[in-house]
Amino acid sequence: MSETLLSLQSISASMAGREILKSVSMEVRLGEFFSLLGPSGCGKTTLLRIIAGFLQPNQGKLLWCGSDATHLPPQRRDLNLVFQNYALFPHLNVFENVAFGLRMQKLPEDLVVSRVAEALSLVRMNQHARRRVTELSGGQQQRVALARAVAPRPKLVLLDEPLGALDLQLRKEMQWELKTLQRQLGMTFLYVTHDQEEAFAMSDRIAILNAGRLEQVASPEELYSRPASRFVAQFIGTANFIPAEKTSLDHARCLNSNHHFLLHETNAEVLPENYPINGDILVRPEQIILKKKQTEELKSLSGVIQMRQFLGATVRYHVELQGNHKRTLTIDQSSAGHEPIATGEHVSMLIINPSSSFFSESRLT
Amino acid sequence: MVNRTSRLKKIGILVWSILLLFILYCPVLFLVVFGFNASSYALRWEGFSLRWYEKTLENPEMLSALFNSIMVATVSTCFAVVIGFLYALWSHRQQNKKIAAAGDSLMSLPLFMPEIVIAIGLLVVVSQIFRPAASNIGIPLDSMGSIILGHTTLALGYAALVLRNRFKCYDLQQELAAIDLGATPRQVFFRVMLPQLVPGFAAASCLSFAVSLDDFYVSYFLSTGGSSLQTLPIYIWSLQGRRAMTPEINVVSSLLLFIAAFFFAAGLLLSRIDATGKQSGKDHL
Repeated sequence: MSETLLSLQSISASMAGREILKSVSMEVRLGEFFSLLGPSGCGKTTLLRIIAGFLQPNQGKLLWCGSDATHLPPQRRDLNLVFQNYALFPHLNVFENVAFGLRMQKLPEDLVVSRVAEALSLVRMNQHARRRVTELSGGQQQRVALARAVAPRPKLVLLDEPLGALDLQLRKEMQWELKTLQRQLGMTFLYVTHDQEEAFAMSDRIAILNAGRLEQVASPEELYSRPASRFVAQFIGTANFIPAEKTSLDHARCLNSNHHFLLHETNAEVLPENYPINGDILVRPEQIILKKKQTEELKSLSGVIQMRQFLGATVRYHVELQGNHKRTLTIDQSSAGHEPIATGEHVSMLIINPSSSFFSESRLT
Repeated sequence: MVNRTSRLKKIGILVWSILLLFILYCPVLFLVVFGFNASSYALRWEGFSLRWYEKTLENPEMLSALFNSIMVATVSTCFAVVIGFLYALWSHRQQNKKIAAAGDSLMSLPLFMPEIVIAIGLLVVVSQIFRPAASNIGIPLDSMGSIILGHTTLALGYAALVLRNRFKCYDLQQELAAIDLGATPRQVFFRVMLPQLVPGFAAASCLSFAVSLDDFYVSYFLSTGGSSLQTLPIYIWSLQGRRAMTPEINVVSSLLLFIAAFFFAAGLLLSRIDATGKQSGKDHL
């Protein structure tokens, strides 16, 4: 495990009497691409401002390379921000914008020139050094803002939804570029976004923030397959919750069929004598195989097709679950070699995931 | 047919425009032309001559009035721009937008008040409060000082509004970016904020200067206390009181017109320059 760069310890913040962050603790490791993901209003921008030093937490500590930096002024923090609206200096040209941080460090002029050239070539903007920033396109301004942040070679770069203002195509390109840039520089990136796909495309690890509370910090793979809460399960990708009862620490039984599930052993919050407990099993859309119903099969769930959407690589079905617990499930079938099933047909569903996550009813959302 | 009517329409508009411009500018036009009059009477044309220009530009009384006007305008412009800047800074940083809007209204209201009312008000406050207060601490507030004070209050509204508008295209997030990159508050002020406000300062200065040059009422009422002081408009006023009004009055008026128009025009043009130094299409004033 690599070295910890930044460590937040029970950070709480409130503004105008409203609690915005509730005891957030997490660690950012040196050299990783770390994302802070959450719906708008979850407190991620506040957390970013606390890390940058523009806001002070009401409680908690911020450790930088192991030493307390909670009250360090923003000028003295070895990190730079890329703002959502870029916040470039309109009276300076591209070169001077990128040079700003270096000039503040009072570096000799030749070093400034070479560092700016280096930063601009990293973002492929070296041909535009003498242009006015107001003449640049959104994507170009974004690159200049990025170069300005990395030119002083900070330990950490904070990015506040930097791709939010760009169109979809450019955003995809920039995701790739950002990730490549971060690898090349070996810098730690802390990326704030509300876009799950964006976070997944770039991050080594992601922290999920909801209503001021940290839900889970994990790799994208783990978040997807082992979400720690219903919120995470629903926020990351598409989630189907199938009624089930948990019968032991690592077993659950489907209530609509005879399905048995092996569980991740992470949610061991109930004492053994309380089993069985009612709740739901998480099943992702691609973990179900649909078949036209022929005979009554004990092991499978049955349902009726409500809608079919052709999405290219996959065909998406909305299926109403039959039985005591009616629900609508979202099921993806690979479109290769798939024979379409018409709306209104009865189907049987085979769940193919070997292990699953269980959420008890008491922990609804 | 269509072509002919549209051509007629165009000619009609042209004639109308010329007529309108003539109505608007004929007083100024006649004034300037009658400055080049050979006659000894201001209102009688007797042929072209530079005689009165020569005479006027050598007149020590006129020159001292001109000097006074420029002196008063310069000092009051400095005061108005600095105070106006502090106001604009406060207003821009004000979190409560309603308070900022109320401030803006209060600042611009005097621009629409009858100037003579302001002048009389100033006379009262200067003679009753400022002058006794100043002499109490040993500084005699002469008429120059009083007029500077008066012109500062006149120009303040213009300076504040121009700078306030300039601030509207200044994004406060830049300051966070600068601080984040290691700038001290001082460096933020001098390297980020001030350079972007330069056109605003220039515009506010020009307008304040022109307002001060133009002013008659305030100068007239405040020049009487203690030693009397003549600014250019007061000097022009005194010329018409004399028995024979010579073309000198046209010449001095023309001079005042040229100077004031220059500063007004410069002020208006400068207020349209955006932060990057380019002319922007939008009129920010």
